[in-house]
Amino acid sequence: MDILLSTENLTKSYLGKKALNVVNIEIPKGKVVGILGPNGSGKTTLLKIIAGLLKPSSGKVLIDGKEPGVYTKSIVAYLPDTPFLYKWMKIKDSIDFYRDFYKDFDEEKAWELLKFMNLDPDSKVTSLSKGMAEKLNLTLTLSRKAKLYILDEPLGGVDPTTREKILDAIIQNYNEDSSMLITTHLVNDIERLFDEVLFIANGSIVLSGNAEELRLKEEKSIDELYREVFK
Amino acid sequence: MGNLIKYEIKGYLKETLGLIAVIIISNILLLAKVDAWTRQTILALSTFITIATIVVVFVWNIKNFSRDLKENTAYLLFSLPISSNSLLASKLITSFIQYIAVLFTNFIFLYYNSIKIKLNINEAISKLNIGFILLGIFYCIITYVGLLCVIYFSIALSKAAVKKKRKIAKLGSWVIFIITCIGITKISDLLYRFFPQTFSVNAMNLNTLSGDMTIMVSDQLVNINIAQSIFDICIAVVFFIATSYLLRKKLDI
Repeated sequence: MDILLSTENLTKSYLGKKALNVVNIEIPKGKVVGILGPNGSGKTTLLKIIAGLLKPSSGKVLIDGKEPGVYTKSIVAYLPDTPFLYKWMKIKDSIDFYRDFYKDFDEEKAWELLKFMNLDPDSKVTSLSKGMAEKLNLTLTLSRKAKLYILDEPLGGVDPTTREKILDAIIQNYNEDSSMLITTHLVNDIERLFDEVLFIANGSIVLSGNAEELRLKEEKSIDELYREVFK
Repeated sequence: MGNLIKYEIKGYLKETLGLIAVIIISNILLLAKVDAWTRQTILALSTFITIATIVVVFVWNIKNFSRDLKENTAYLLFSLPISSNSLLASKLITSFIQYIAVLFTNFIFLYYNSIKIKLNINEAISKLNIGFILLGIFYCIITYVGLLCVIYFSIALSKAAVKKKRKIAKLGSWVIFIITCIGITKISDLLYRFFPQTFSVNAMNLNTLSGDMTIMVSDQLVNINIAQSIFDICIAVVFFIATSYLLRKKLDI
């Protein structure tokens, strides 16, 4: 089994407070992993370390056998939970930007996805609603043929119709040679995608395993399990 | 790095063109007053516009770097598969281009006003030694880039040290900058004291025609301290490397 991502005793502290506390995970290729936990549990910190945006206080992260750096950024497609495009950009500029910087960016796929998401290439990114911005960001992220996709709250603050559209886009564009990490609070909407789940609280993994096995063992959906673990 | 430079320039193009338009319009308005005011007054006001716009572009040059550490666009920029050296170099190059564009526009009007009050600008320029001009340009680039490197270093170090508290990080970057500048000045003074050796450059070639012979008189020598000059280059290089290291190894986005 090819391990795409592994962390070893990964810890991140801010002024003595531990945002991540000795996290050990191994993610093989071809898996969709749900990282679930309440606000402030350390999900985004974990994803940012994997994306190379935060530096661990101690411990180790390896992505495709390499520590976070220029190479890993070329194979990781990261979708943050906030708008991140330059305000001067139009949608078509953001497509050009991704094409210019990422060798694995499939421009044709991006235009198809834009059409699927009903987005106008001439719209300014600042004029987009939260749902539209989320659709654009997801379009850019999924149009890369990355080895690891990191989606931080891809359904955050969007209406149910848009949510369905985003989920369809994830399902249709997911590549089985790659892995995907997804954080969300809307577990019920997205749990059908998960192969594996990690429950995280106070910076530590409190429960993890195969999503289907957990459902059978606990006789609960992942959503119900989430509510029980974090009640 | 070429792509980074392209998008950096695209990002600030509108504001830079706006500032250039302000320079052009305000200077044209000054020139429209040529019958009412003296040329000296117009030149003085044009100089004032130059200083004011240079201050504005200098602040923008600092923001070109600090903005991407503070705003959400940091997620875009720092997720790119590019080295910290390329990122920093592109920031410095685009900042310098922005600075030069504004400076050059101002110089056109300063030059025009100067020749109108019959300052012998053209004659002076024609007599400048080419070596002196090239050295001057090189020294200006090194000094300005060195200054930006020290400022970027102060911002990056403060952000890396303070992490999430933005207001403290801003104050911290000022404190680091002031301490660094004091340190640089002290070292520069010590170098001047212990290594006073200089080299001389002809600022102007004063040519006198005498029959078929051209006699070159070189009495406009400018003395440059060797140790301080090397130190200025080292400042730019060392702070570039240090800032790049902070971006790569220490900075949390």
